[in-house]
Amino acid sequence: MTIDRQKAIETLFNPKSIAVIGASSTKGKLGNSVVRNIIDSGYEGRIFPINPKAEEILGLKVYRSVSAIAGHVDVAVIVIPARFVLSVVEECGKKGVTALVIITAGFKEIGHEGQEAEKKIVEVAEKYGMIVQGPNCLGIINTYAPYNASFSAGTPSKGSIAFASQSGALMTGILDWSLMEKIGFSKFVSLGNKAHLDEADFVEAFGKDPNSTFILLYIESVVDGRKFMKACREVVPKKPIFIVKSGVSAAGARAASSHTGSLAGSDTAYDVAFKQCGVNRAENMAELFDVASVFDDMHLPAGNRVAIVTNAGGPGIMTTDACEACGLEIAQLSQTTIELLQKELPPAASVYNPIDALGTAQPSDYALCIEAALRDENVDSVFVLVTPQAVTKEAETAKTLVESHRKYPGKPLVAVFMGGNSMVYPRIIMNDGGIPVFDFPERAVHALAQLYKYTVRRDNLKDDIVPTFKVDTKRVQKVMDSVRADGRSIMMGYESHEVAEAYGIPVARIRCATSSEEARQIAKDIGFPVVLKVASPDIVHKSDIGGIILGLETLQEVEDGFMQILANVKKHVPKAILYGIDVQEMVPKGKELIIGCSRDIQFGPLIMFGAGGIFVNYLKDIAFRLAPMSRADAGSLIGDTKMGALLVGVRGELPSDIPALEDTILKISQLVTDFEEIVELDINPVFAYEKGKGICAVDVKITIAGE
Amino acid sequence: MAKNIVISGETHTGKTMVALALASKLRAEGKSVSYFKPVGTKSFEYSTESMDVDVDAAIMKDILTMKADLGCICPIVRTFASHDELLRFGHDVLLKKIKECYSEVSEGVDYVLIEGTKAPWHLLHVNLSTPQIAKEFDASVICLVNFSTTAAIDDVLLQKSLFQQHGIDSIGVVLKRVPPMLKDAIKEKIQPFLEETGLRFCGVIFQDRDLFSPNVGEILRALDGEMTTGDDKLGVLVDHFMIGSMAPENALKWFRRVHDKAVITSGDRPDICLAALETDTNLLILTGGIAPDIRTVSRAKEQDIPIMMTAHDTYTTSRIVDGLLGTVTPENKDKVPIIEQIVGDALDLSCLDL
Repeated sequence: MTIDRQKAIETLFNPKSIAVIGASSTKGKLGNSVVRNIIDSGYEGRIFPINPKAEEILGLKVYRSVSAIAGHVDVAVIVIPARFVLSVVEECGKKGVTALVIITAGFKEIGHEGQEAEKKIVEVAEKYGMIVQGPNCLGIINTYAPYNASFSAGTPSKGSIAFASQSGALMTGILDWSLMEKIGFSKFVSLGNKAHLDEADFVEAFGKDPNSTFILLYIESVVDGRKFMKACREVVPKKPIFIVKSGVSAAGARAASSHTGSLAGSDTAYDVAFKQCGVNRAENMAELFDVASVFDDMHLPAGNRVAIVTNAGGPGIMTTDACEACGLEIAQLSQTTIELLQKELPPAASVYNPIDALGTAQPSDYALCIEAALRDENVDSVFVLVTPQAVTKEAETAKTLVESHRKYPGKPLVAVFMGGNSMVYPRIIMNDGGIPVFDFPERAVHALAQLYKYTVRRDNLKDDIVPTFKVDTKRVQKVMDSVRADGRSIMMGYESHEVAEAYGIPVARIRCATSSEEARQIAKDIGFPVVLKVASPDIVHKSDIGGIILGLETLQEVEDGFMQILANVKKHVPKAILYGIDVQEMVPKGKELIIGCSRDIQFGPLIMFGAGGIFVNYLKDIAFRLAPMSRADAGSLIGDTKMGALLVGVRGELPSDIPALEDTILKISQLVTDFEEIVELDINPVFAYEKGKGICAVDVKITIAGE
Repeated sequence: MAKNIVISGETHTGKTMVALALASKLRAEGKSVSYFKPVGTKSFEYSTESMDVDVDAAIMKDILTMKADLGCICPIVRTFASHDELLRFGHDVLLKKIKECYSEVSEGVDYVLIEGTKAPWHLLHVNLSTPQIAKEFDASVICLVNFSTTAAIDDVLLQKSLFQQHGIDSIGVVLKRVPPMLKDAIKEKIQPFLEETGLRFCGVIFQDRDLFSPNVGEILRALDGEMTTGDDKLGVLVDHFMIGSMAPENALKWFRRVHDKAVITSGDRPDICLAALETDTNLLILTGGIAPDIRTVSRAKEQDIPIMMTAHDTYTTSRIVDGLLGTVTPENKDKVPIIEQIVGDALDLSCLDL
């Protein structure tokens, strides 16, 4: 049965009736907490506790089973031991329940049997057209319904942030913290094992939800990279998505693999995917909520120009440094602002940005400076720094900030109140007044910068056309078939060069010789000088065993080279299966580049570009994009590397043929998109020549997957 | 009366493989086949106190379910215990024994496959070399020749000349262990030349990993291991071994390059295990006695890939399994169907006057 997931999630967010299967009258049991939370959250719909043994739970009538309920049930929350879940899901299906929230643990996370059980649950749910959140999750909270169908300790306050998390425990911590920090949420979703509904479904739903204007995600992996990117691309133009994706380090990735039981795609792929779909990646949870706390209270900045108002020089300079580092610009104040400040502030004050109102600054001085900055058309956002000095009136100043923001709500105003005890009360005033406040400048700057970066990414998100080149797919298929028939994964040089040729990629000509006589003939045909390379799937590092000879200028050299390579192979890798020796055209040297592709488990073909040659691994001047790519993607991919700058032409060098290079990158993008069997592709080096003279792929390596 | 086919050649395992493939082909045509190896070599693994046994004879008896006594399927087993072990009996005694046994082995069958000595000239000193046996039993002859370079063309002619000297003119030839690079050369040049010299061309067996790959069961025995999952996969062949100790982001790249492989790693590397399970892997070998993560097992079951644990460390494990590659004999019964298929496909029976 096909399910309109979004329509069903709408019901999951706003149910008219909820059944709690496994409701309990015993305090401390999950089944009790869930019912209690639903009641305490002020839920106004019907609640059906289900327990075959109890009569009444928390004053509600208890039903023996779902089928015993007379009316319709929108959402069933399941908190019973894992072994009973399947039959209950079936029963819910028969009852016509729309959405299931399976809190019960003991599925995929405990091994194969659990995984099989989980699969069966999804099958049954799909059969009846139900959606499933979880299993192994904390539950769901919608502060607008309002309802809290989770076993969390408390309900978050109402706000604009939609939060979905793969870790349930993390959610409970954040919920507790948010109550202290007065950060409000619209939706609070625990993803659990993501057996059915995944992060992409919720991103889409949050995108449609009018009460959510800011989306936060904590994930360890995505289920379906393509689906996730599509959902994000559609939502980002309307509202920001910030993500913490853990498992960045090798050890972290290992832990994530172990925790989720799925191979984490490379962190690079995640990074690139987020970038390409306009999602901002936060480094850590603290940053995620720093950003959220600013966004929760303020509009998005219109640009990156900031004004800093301070009562101390040092913090002002620190904030300035932080702004520069984060890509924010210290605004040049308008003449009007400067004149006003000169007139009103003591002569020792600095009236240029940062505006230093001196240690003696009173709340009225702050009001003057802040409001002047907020009015200034050269300023997009304002930071206010307060240090507790002898005459500083912290609480009064806090009230001033709230008041100024009320007068000029259009521009973000971020407070940094540096201090301890003396700042506790002022912070409460600002929290209540909707002013984001931080202890130290760096975090404040970082948070605002992230919001600015969101606006840039959002605006850059264009629906570019992915170009299609005229190519010979049949020829590629033929090569692929013959490689497979031969039982290989790695293509021989002459095969991969043929694939590249079929896609119109300029390559050094190459043919395979099985005798030195043949090699001589080929060399004669393609012209001197030539390169000889051993063709064997068993020899990966050809040069290590003397399997490559460069710069052969005469027929005699070709003949000798051929025999020499045969002898080297016989000596060093006698077990290698030999297909022959490739004779390759030796093309003139250009700028050495690398273009590669590796198929990421979650996101598909990840295209790499950078400085090529044998030092690739040491220079690490490379950048990535996910295919399929638009021309703009190809351009920005090249631009992301240092090599990109060299290709434009430096120190009097002529520019390289960048359009030809872009074409090649795009053709590779098309090739790996057309042929999913290509799992790895490496062209190293690619020589780039002067503008108009094109490029040439010198060594192409392709690995294909089994059928 | 049974028709005899002598299989000759200077090879380790090739003759028995060809015998297997021939037997399978003939049986598919509804013929009954038995196997005879006049002179063999003592296998210390198979021999008992009362009987010296040749390993090929033991295997073929088993596969062809022959009733004949093992001591008759290979009547003369060389032990090299003395310098004159055959001379002291002399040609006549030995031949008598061979003939007696032959009549037992050949009784009631359509074909007898007679496997020659290790090299065709062996036992010339008692006039029982392979050509002399072929003459004695009026057999069709198939000569196997390792053909790793075109220089081996003279090896073919040497065999031909040896057989001709003993009055045998109709000789079939099979080129084996041929590198793919010689494919065209053989078809266009070598085969026509050999046929011109009067040889009958029976086929080419290219270098093929499958013929020399150990299976999971053999690896299990060699490593003294234990199956964590996939007990039913002991027959699966492993073509390559890879050590999984790389950074996880590089693992996929390397694992993708090789298929039908075993990955050797430690149980505490779920990232490597999962990367291996994501690619075309036939076996996961976990070293150091560290049990796999529960999710690794779960994924392996899902992908139907066996996991083996061994107490050896990774280095020792790799040394042991390295020794298994390329030295496998048809001893391993699970491999029989693969041998029958690959060798059978390469052989053209019409080259023999059957």
